[in-house]
This record gives sequence, structure tokens and C-alpha cells, in this order.
Amino acid sequence: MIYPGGVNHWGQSHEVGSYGAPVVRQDGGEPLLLTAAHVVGSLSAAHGQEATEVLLATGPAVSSADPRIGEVVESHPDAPTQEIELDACLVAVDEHVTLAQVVRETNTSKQPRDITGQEDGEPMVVHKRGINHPHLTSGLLDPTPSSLLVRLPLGDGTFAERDYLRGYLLPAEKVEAVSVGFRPL
Amino acid sequence: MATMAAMRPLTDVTAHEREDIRLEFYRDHRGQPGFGSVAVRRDGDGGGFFIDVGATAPPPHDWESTYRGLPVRVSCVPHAVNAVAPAQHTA
Repeated sequence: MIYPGGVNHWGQSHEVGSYGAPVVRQDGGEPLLLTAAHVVGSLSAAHGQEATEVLLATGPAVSSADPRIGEVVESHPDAPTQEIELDACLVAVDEHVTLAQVVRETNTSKQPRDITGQEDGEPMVVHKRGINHPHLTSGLLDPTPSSLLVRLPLGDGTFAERDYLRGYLLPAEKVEAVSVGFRPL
Repeated sequence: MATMAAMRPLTDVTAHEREDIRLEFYRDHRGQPGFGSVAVRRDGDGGGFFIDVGATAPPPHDWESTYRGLPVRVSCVPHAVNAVAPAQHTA
């Protein structure tokens, strides 16, 4: 699980984490990590801080001993906006970091799954990783896109409510989480 | 124009139109008390499309019965969903 470096308003580690998926740009180049902008990028609580480094959680909880694996190089949107068309960011990893395509100890197909055009389809199983125990969870993603109000945590303990124009609901056990599509409008 | 829209078969709405309707409905209604989300869904197996509005209960706002020719149904959801779960702290 990756999460933003630096500390929040109270001097604590940021408490948001997620998967990072290895990707390459269309014109090639070094592998990058793709994750959500609300995790480590422009929509995260770490936005605006000098530190843009990304850490790798290595234990049951985040720790000052967690290693740095890279830094945020690109976010969409570039800066927080009220309407969110795309919630994604790219992390350039340090030279010593090796990226793998493994989820639940299984190699993935390495192929992105395009769910556009499947609005009437059955809910699909999605694996997700977060900061809270048990960290790795699964859910059923509703393939019908929604436009919805999403609450994003800020570093000072407050929240910003933003308009996600194309989100996919993924009900969680106690709260609702939102996963967003990567297809621009 | 509104009459033509109301007469339209509810199964005859393209994906592009559904996207357009969803975005327009969202932008028209955000800020309404209790409004949280909107999706354009198909009713059952091969049924017509309808506008699924997620709003808090009890409904604080009287929603129109149709919008651009599609029926509007309101379901109960939180005002806003959380992008991330609140962190759990252990002693």
C-alpha cells in the first residue's frame, strides 16, 4: 500500500493509502505507478505541501520507518477543482524500486479493464487496499456511472465536498467508498 | 419539445444521451438540500431507462416526476459518499 509522505495538521502521518498499479506512458519510458489523486496527488490531504514523496507501508500500520519509493509527478486535476472529471495521479519510482503486478499473491493480466459500455452489466468483483485493517478488501462495483457528491479529507481534519462527474459506486462494509473511472469526459 | 421527449420510448436512449442527461441533471440539482447522486439506469431486464436520484431521507425536496422524458425515482443514500474510510485508531 502506498501513501503520502509528510505529516498532517497535527504532525501525524497521513491516513490514506491505496494500491499503485504499474503503468507506462503510450510513448514508452520508465514504468510509473498509477493511483488516485485523492490518495497522494492533487486531491489528497498532502496537496500543497513541499513534500511530494510517496511511501510504502511495510507493516500493519504506517511507520516512520516506511521507505520512500518515489514522488508524485502528475495529477489530474493539476490542482483541486470543484468538478472532478478524472481522479488519478502518476508516481515516478526511485531507481531501487521494482514494480510488480500482483494482487492477492496472484499475477494480474496486466491488462486494464474498460467497463464503459457495460452500464447494464452485472456488478463486478473489485479488490481494493486501504489504510485500515484488514487493508485488503473486496466489493461489488456497480458498472452504472453516477454523478455524485464526494467527501474528501483535508489535512486539517475537515472535508471538502466535490462533484465527481463520473464515479462508480463500490459499497463498503460500513461506509461508502467511491472508485472513479479513468476515461476522460 | 417536452411533449416529444415524453412520448419517446424509454428504451431508446443512447449511451451518449444517458451521459448527457446524467450530467445535466447533476448540474441542475447539485446544491438542492439532500441531493447526493444521480445515475441513469435500465429498469429490469430490457426495461426502460429511468433517472435514479440518490437523496437523503426524508426527501427535503420535491423532485420532478420526469426529466427529459425519463421518469425520476428517488432512493435513500447518504448526502455525500466518502472517498476514503475514516482511519481506525488502535490503542
